[in-house]
Amino acid sequence: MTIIFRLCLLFLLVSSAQAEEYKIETVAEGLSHPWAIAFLQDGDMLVTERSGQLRRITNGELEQEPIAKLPDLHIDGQGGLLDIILDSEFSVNHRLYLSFSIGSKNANALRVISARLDGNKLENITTLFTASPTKDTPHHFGGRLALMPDSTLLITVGEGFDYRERAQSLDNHFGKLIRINKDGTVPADNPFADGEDALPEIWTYGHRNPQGLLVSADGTVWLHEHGPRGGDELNRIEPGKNYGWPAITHGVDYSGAYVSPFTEAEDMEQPVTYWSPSIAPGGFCEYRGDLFPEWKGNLFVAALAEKSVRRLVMENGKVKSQETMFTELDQRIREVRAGPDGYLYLLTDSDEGKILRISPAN
Amino acid sequence: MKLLKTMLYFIVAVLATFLLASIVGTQLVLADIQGFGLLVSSSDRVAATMHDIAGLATMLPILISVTFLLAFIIAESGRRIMAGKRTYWYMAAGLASLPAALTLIKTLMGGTVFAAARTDSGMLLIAFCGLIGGWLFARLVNRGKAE
Repeated sequence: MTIIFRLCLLFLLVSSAQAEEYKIETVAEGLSHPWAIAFLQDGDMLVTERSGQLRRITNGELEQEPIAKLPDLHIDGQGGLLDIILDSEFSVNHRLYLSFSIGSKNANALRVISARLDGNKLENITTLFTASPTKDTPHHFGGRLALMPDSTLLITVGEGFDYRERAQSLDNHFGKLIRINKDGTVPADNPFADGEDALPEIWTYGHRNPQGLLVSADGTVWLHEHGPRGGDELNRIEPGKNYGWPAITHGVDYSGAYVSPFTEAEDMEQPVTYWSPSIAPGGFCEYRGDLFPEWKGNLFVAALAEKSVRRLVMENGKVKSQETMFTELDQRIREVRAGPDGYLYLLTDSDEGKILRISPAN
Repeated sequence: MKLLKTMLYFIVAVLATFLLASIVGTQLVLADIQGFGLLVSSSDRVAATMHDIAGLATMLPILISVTFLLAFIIAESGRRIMAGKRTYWYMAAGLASLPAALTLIKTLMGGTVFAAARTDSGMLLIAFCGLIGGWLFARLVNRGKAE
């Protein structure tokens, strides 16, 4: 009896310690489907709302007036204002990069621009990339951006939902990872740079709807993509490789039919891990801060459908273990970012979206 | 009794159309897979076809039932107002019903729920499955009336 009592006490203590590992604070609320966040050096934050506004948070307060409502934006379904990243020399040149959808219901596409942030205005807006051809669906734009250590820009493009077979063709941008220079030109060392049998800006292909992209501290490029019903993937990216969609997949179509009966094939890459049933990964980051030493080097994946964040403990390029976190919020999580202050930031996906800050309990 | 018989004919027509559409859909998807350079063996084909019949068994029969119901009501009304052979009216209704429903769903939801119907040729084949369903229903009703 005494032993059982002591075990119960121990269990309660451990549970209590886990529960108090972190605390969650609201940084901003009332955001319309916030999609991405960027951290400025002065502590301010820039947030994109899918409904088209770029907002600034100053001293922990959301400014009521948006910085900009971008021209030519097409807001429909999964489209709208999507990602934002800062130039690696932002403190000097104030340049940032934005992705969003343009066009119309019957002819829309992903576009990426660069612009100079001048106070609360966007100046010198330059179009760097527009996905081609256009599509007539409001789904699967991709839209994540990342800068490589060599200052080239990576862009994910989705396969447009109804155009999945075109992810296997190299004459279009559906289901591709694109690599361009910061002025929009194509790097000479791209795998298809000669442009003979493929569009030269294509870096990898065979993707479905990649909404997560990061370059880790060791230079590895990671990408996650939504599967259909099951088969969400985490991929380790290598230039020129084919990631299989829709020829191979671990998921099935929403209708219940096969997208493909095959899960592997020659010359097609396998994911590092996949999630079935789908968690719907919306964005991810690598934690490099000091506030949570035990999280250092972990990947954090925002999960829309699962209403959680997956913490992936990585070892030798593989997922050693996973922890499902923040389910107590009961919120679709669109994005998770590690701030330069060491905190973890979550964006919740709703008409009344929030920015949440995760800090150590003590 | 007459109503029960008509319902039975309707269910037979829906199931036949569902099986045909499912089989056609699988072959179209497998043709695309072969186009990527993967080898699809006969056993792969049979297994995939059976898998898809089971996988689509919840969504597709419901879709076909709803669209056939509306299409056949319109066909019967048309036949009574304008006359003509029942078989032709129901074949036309069956032919038009699935493309109309899938197009409507795409307009509302932004995507094609039945992958086989994403291309013009796929949509045509699915429409043809509907035509056979309409023909079968009319034929069963005609035979019932003759009896």
